[in-house]
This record gives sequence, C-alpha cells and structure tokens, in this order.
Amino acid sequence: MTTEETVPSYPFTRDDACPFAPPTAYQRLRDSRPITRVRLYDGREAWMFTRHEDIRAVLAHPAASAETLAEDFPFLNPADRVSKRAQSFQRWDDPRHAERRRKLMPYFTIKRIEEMRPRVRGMIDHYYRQMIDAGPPADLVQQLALAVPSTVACDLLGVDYADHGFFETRFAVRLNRTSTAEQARAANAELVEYVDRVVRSKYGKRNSDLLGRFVNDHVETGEVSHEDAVIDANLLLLAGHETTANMIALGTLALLEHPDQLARIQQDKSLVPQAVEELLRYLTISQSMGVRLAKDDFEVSGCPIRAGDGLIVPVAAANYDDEVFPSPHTLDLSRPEARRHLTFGFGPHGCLGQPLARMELAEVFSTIFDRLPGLRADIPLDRVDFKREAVFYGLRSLPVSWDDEAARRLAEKDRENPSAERSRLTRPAPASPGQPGRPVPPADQQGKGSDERR
Amino acid sequence: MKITVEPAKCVASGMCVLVADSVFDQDDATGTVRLRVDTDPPPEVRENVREAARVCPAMAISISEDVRSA
Repeated sequence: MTTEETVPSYPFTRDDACPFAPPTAYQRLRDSRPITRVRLYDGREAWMFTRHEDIRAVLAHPAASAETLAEDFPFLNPADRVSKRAQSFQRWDDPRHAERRRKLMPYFTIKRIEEMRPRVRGMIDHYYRQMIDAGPPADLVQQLALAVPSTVACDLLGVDYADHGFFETRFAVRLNRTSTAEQARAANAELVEYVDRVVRSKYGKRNSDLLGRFVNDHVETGEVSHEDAVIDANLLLLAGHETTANMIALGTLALLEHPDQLARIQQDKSLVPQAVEELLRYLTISQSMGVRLAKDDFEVSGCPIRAGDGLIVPVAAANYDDEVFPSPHTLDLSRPEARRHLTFGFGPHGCLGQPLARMELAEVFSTIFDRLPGLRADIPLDRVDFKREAVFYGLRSLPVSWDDEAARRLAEKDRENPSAERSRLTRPAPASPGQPGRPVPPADQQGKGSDERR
Repeated sequence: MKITVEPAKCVASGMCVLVADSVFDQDDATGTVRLRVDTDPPPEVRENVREAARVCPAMAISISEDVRSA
C-alpha cells in the first residue's frame, strides 16, 4: 500500500510556527491518507488515524486493547515501554478494567466535585496570596500551576503535600520521552516504594481520604491486592497533578498571547466553562495519547485492521480535524463544538478525573487575571521553555510579573473587608463527614523531602 | 423526545450533567448516569440533551426523536 520511504516515523515533532498547535503533519496526513502506516522507534509499523471520527471509533472499539503486557503492544519510546508496563487498571481491558474503575467512579461525580470546589478555591487563593506577598517576579509553573493541582491531588488522595518535590521530579523523568529505559525504571521504582508506604499508612484505621477509603473498602476486605492498590494509587497521583498543572501553565500563556480572547472571559465569567473546553482542545497537552493494540480483526472506515496490529490514535489530531472544528488553529473561547474534543480520551478509558480537572481549571482561569492584575510573561514567546519532549506538553517554567501595587491593594481590601460573597468563596469547605479539617499546607513545607527539579 | 441511558456503559465523565442537569443525574453510590426525565424534556433543554448524547465518551445515551413532540 505504501512504500518503505513514505512510511513516516512516529511520534512527530512539533512545528516551530505556533508553539500551541500539534504537529502539522497530522493535518497533511488527514488531507491525503487519513488512515496510514507509521514507523515506531523500534522499527515496527502501526496504523495511525488522523480523523476525529476514526479516532473515536478506535478508542471506543472493544477490539482495541489497552493491555500493555500483550506481546505486540506498540510503544513509542523506551521510557514509554517501561512506564506503560505498570499494570494499573488503565492498562486492562473490560470487564476487569470496568470493575476496578467502578470502585473509583463515585469519588468523581459532579456532586462530589462541587463539594470540593470551595476547598479548592481556598487552596488557589493561598497560592495567590503567597505570590502577592512575595511580589513579582514569580515562576508561574512552580508557584501556581503545579502547586494547585498537586495540593488538590494530595488533599483528595490523602498524600502528604510535603513530599510533592519528591514525586513531581520522579514523575517528570517517567514522562520524558528522552529518558532512557533505565532512568524510567529507577524513577518508577522510587515512586512505587513511596506510594507503597502511603498505602500501608492507611491500614487499620478508618480513613476519609480517597486512598484510605479505597484501602478500607476494597483492600482490607481482600477484594483488591495491596500491590494493585499501590499501582492504582500511583496512577491517581500522577494523573491528578501533572496534567492539570500543564493546562494551567500553558492555558495562562495562551490567554496572554490572545488578549482579545482573554478580554472575553474577563468581561463575562459565565463563559469560563466553555473557554476551558476550548483550551483543552486547542492545547491538547497529551502528546502521545492514545495507543492501542487490535486483539481481533475489525474495520475502521473501510480499512481492514488485523489482530496484532498496533493502533496509533492521536487525540491531538482529532482535536484539529477541521470537519469537526472549523479553523482549528483559531482559539475561539465560545466555539460551539469545543466540547467534542477528545483531550480526555474517548470510550471506556476516558479520563476518570475529568470533572475535577474541569473544576480546577475553571477556578483558576476565572480568578488569576483578577487576583494578579496586569499579569504578563517576562520573556518573549520564543524564549519560553516548552516541554517538547514530555508525554504531557506544557511549560518547564514561566517567569511572570504583575501590577504589584494593585495586587496588594486588592488583597488587602479582601483581607480587611471581605464581602459576604468573597468570604464564602474562599473559606475552605467544611470537611467531609468524619474528616478533620485539614488546612492548606503552609508554604514553608515546599521543598521538604524534595530534590531539585530537572 | 425519548431518552435512554445505559448505566452499565457509563464511565462517569459527568458531561451529561454538566450539559443538561435538569435531565441527567449521577447515582451517588455508583457514580453512573441516572435520568431525571426520560420523555419530552422542556423544549429549551432538548438541544443540550442532544449535545450530551454527542459528547458522552461512553456512548451511553440514546435519543429517539418523536415527530409529534419535536
């Protein structure tokens, strides 16, 4: 069908023209041969799909397997091979995948997430105050983008935020495409050892945090093994902070680069949830999702797929399919079809934490430009440190400044004379039943037990 | 308009509740989809119900449009 020379190597590299857009190679292929063969790093070939419709069809197909222990499963690089072999339920197929996932689903209903909202607001507010008290400049990534979701994930799961430096740096190694298999293995081993200790600390007492309750309800009852619980906890911790962190950093930069769009949400905050969907589409931080293995023969848009074929289904390609998203390169915060993005995946493996991510992102994007008036990047776009080689695209750092006087004045007014609304919004939520109110971790805990970030 | 949901397929993305919370709900114990209304929701929410079906990542929502009530 295609000759040796025309089989492109995957993953593609991003273009320099627009730092927010996925590789334009997706678009070229979609226009010429939307289902094509690609060559992976280890020399093997796989099918790649670039149309929204086909990507949805593959991700939802029962014959598209996520089981990474299968001999033929396609991997994208040596680190990918190591980290995806960790057998969390994410790497299982239904029905055993669904059975495990269902034990976690009740924690992520819209109602549960809404109950968390005031508490999350309090956490975000804490980091704004820290930034304002210290004054500009600041690194938006470390001081807000990573700190917020990391704090939220620790609070939800029952992990000590004091350890954030430790787990953030290890996850960064695991998620770097250029990490060697050995580096990924070592980082993963340290994470497993750490999470093993966290899970062990939940035994023998009634817990109110997610991991603790999971242990009480499913591990202590003998339903789920300790080893499985550790691997799943590892996944939840990773998924709970790294993804949203990249969206906050990259989303803030994208809004600063599109002042006309930023002005729209500043004028009408009710637009924020829709804006979040468009930012999720436009930025598609996952650079290597999704990958599957055909475990039976099936057909996609007339193309016969054989059992054993590797299937590359890049959600970034789907999110820029102009049949679904006209002018996909335009950031349009009121784009009517924005919700059709596949950033959280599609089918049985769709992101479990998506309601939480949506809530955190809406809270940040509806407040950051008010609390830090005049927020701006201190460096031009071409000097920004993008994570081009990471599984999740984002920024390594972003030096920012804001109007110091105005921010302090606002913060002071807020402290002295909190309106009923404001104080209601920023007070930490009442703890869930049986949970002693846990305060937002103080700033001076940052760095304890942590290594330097890469 | 007749709405049908399949809780057994539901992955609890919450999209249906975010798009049309007068029609869709989630079971507290299982996190899976539950209907508040299964027939002829108010005309002003019908487009949102269609949107919920379109964006459901589990394809767990089906709608049959009735000519009389459309």
